[in-house]
Amino acid sequence: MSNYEFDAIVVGSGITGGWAAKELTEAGLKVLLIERGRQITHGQDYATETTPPWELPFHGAGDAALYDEKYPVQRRNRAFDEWTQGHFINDIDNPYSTAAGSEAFLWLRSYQLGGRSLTWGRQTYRWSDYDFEANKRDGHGTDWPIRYADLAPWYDHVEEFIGVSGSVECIAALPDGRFQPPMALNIVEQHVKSAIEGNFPDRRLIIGRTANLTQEKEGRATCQNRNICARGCSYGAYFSTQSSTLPAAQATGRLTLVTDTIVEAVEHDPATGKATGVLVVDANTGARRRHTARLIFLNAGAFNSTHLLLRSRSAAFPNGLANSSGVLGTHIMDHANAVSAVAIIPGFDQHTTYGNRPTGIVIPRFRNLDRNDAPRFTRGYSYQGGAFQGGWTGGKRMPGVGADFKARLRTPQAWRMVLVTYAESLPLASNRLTLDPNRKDKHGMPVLQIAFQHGENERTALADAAAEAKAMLTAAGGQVVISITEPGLGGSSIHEMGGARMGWDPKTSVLDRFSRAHDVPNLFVTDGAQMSSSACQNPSLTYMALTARACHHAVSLLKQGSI
Amino acid sequence: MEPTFVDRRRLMGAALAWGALSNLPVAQAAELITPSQSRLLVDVVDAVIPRTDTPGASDVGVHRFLVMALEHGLEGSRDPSLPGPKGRDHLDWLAAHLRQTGEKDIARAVAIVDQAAFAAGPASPPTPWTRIKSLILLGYYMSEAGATQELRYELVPGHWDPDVPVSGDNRAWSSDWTALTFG
Ligand SMILES: Cc1cc2nc3c(=O)[nH]c(=O)nc-3n(C[C@H](O)[C@H](O)[C@H](O)COP(=O)(O)OP(=O)(O)OC[C@H]3O[C@@H](n4cnc5c(N)ncnc54)[C@H](O)[C@@H]3O)c2cc1C
Repeated sequence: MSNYEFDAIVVGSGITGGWAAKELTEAGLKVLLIERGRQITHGQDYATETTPPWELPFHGAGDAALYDEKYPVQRRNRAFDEWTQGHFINDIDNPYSTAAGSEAFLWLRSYQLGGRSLTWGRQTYRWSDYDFEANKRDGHGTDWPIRYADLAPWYDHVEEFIGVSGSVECIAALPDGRFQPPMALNIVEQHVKSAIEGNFPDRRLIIGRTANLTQEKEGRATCQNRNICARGCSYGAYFSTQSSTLPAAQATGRLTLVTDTIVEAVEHDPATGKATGVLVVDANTGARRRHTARLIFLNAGAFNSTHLLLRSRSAAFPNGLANSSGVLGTHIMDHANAVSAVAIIPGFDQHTTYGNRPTGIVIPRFRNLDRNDAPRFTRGYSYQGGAFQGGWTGGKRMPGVGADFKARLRTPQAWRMVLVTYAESLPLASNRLTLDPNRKDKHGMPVLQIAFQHGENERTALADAAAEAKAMLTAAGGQVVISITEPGLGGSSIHEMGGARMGWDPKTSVLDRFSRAHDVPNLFVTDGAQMSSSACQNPSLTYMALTARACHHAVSLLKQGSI
Repeated sequence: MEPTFVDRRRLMGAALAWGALSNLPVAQAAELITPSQSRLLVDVVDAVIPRTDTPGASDVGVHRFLVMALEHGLEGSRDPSLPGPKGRDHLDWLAAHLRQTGEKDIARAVAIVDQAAFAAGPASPPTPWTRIKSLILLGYYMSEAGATQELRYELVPGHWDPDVPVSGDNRAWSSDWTALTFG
């Protein structure tokens, strides 16, 4: 033990790394948390949090020439704007490639203390056994070695700590959690809800469950209904590493945090079969050094953790660490998304709202649950969206000039309801990550190469979703003005996952049922890389619950002396 | 401010450097266009958003904002995949099209150009004019007067009310970010 600098090393300080750091330090371990990006201090470094648009050179829209040059991928993320651009990577300095014959993939990233916990959309949903049993049921992918019951207590544990506002609904496909009081549906959403639930008995429309506080929590204030979360929130009202897990880990006195430090490889001792530590590169100077620990947790984000394993090659693991199965990098996924319907909802001109609620609505999955009611595709989809009144930006597509035009834009525009679909992405071996044989980044590391294509199943599901969205909004008296069936590019859901899947069999999976590498007993991968299927819910809550569960398991193994 | 923001770019052969919160890009607009172009732009932006009980577009400098915004490719104004003028060349396009209307009165000429661009209704494809118009709206409604006098701006609403009856002051919120994104 004294040979190691730390009990555990956690790679990455985003949503899952913050959780690993908290759980492991609270269990008494001495932890080194390594983050490749810069330090961002809660509150103090949220530089644009209160900046009004007129103080920004481009009034919030940002410098398009700069974006074309340096952020051609990141700029395609709706959360990326002149306020938040500093919370996303620069594409030039962080290259990746797309495999020949593959569609373009949008790899949307935040490399900084807190990772994408600062920029995420905060939608927080449990999975159900429809999801954990899906692979077994239809034979795509490999059977999940866990079920809902394994994760339920960890969902409780995570929700109670991060604070999730939501309503208790008793929907089998979307289990209830430990919620703070829900935010309210607006008047038009209430109307659409009753029209949908009255006409389609298998469907529900509920308020989005979100990691924004409606009740105070230790050192964190309630949500102020600004809805500018991705700038950073000095109220600490949404869950981020900075607002929540990092202070908890630091309070133990057992956390060492380093930023601007890139983990290049996980080192492995073939004699013991264990990981011994990590090789790191100083992001600013390029200097290399190593750190050692008894336990290694990878939390660098699904593709980064997979990338890190792929480049951790040795004589024992020539194709990447923990890759005796050869499946490392395969079966990556991202939900297929489309704006299934936008409808104008008449009859509510005398109603408006106050405040900016930081969540929308969700219509949980209703297809192919107990009955195979949509036999043209397997699995399902769910909708997220909401009703709102348009603003002045509608004037861009409106004819007219002069005083009348100005008067028209002075008041809110027509009420509209939007339904965006997330369709389950099937785990396919051909969707995979490899090391680009020809290209290296500025630190000399081979860049990641992505091969990804949405399949026929996703397209068929999106076509069904569009037809059903139109039917539901029409039933609510809406006039549908937009309906799209073509999926957005891979990556655009920002739910990229898979690459080091969990499974029963070491020959066909990378990780065991506790997120531990089959091949390396003290190595855990607890971010999205571990996912064996994608479900259609936003995934981060499940990553957090799996992380907390894996930490608990790792600590008990350590205490038993078995690793 | 984010370090990525401090960026050096070349404009008209002169290297300008600016910090995030400076108003330099707007102030420099004068150097990019001729005085007669500038006078024309004042009339054009005011034709779109005139002074009423609140300031008009030129009162808040939208004619200068527009030049910088075009120069920096906002609203696809430098997108190589779109036909038509690039960047500041939109201004020559605009002058020519206003002339072609045969109208001496700029406000009337602008109305004609606008009508032509929206001939196919609100779903009309983007044209140089719709790009210019969009940038005039951005420059105006996100200016301090546009955002806080013409519209209402509240950075910290503090609470959420899901149903408010429309009463006297029904100005839209310039700080309703969802409305702006999906507008
Ligand atoms: C705009 C947006 C909206 C989203 N909305 C939602 C939502 O509503 N609900 C939801 O569930 N999910 C949402 N997501 C996805 C969510 O952000 C991710 O699922 C989540 O952040 C993943 O957590 P993570 O810890 O695996 O990775 P991240 O949070 O990305 O953190 C990874 C960290 O590791 C660091 N790192 C990477 N490589 C290395 C290395 N080699 N060495 C050291 N450090 C490294 C990175 O810099 C980063 O800080 C959204 C994402 C975005 C961007």
